[in-house]
Amino acid sequence: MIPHEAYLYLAFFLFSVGLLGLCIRKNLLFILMSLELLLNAANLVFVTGATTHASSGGQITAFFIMTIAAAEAALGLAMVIALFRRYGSVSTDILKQLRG
Amino acid sequence: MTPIITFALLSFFIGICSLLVIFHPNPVMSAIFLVADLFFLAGVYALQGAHFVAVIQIIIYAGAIVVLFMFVIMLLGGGVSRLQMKPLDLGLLVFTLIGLLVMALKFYLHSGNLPQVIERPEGISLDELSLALFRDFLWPFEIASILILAAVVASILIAKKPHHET
Repeated sequence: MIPHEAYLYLAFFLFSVGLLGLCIRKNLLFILMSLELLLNAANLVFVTGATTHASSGGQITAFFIMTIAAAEAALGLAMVIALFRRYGSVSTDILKQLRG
Repeated sequence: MTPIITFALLSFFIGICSLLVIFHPNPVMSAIFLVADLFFLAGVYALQGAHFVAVIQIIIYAGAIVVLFMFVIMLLGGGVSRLQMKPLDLGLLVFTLIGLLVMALKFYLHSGNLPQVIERPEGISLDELSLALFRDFLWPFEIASILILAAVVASILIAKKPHHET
């Protein structure tokens, strides 16, 4: 029997990797993929909680997180396309107009 | 194969694939490693007895979201396939590392008194899951459909060409 802490440590590792990708990459596509990793880490914690407590709430929450991830990916990629059409690049270097 | 070995293999591959997702220079390969990562995570869900979540993970994430990523990468073409790292912001990195360290320490200290595990090796049945989804969580479910509709309309509006360019 696998201890449930192991799943939580795996989720913690996945979250750390996603956060690292969010910090070090410049390409907006990689930033969106790192966001997917973060959402997956949250999903893993919810499913582990559902298994631990033998209740279905955690799995339902995981479904809603997937819904929100789909909406977020669609909107984020639409913004990437709009930025690429306007500036010809998807690097975060171009997003300097709001820098104060 | 015992569950322990399966879990160890799955988490090893998840670690490798997630590191490759963020460090690989080519976005197409990165998206492929993201698919592999999601497949192994589906394996972890199946190991926990959450079979329906595992199937949904493969269908929605690998089948829809990552395909969308691929589509956009192909649409943008070769201009994006360069390894672009930020000049390492030391303050941000130190701040993030301290936050992660505090999180790990807190988790380690509290891991002794996690709530009592209720053993149900057969997992949560699909009957129970669908009853909960369509009875207890009916309103969030309906609101999620409106959210998806709004996201579809908004992404079409954002991504379409401006009028003066057509």
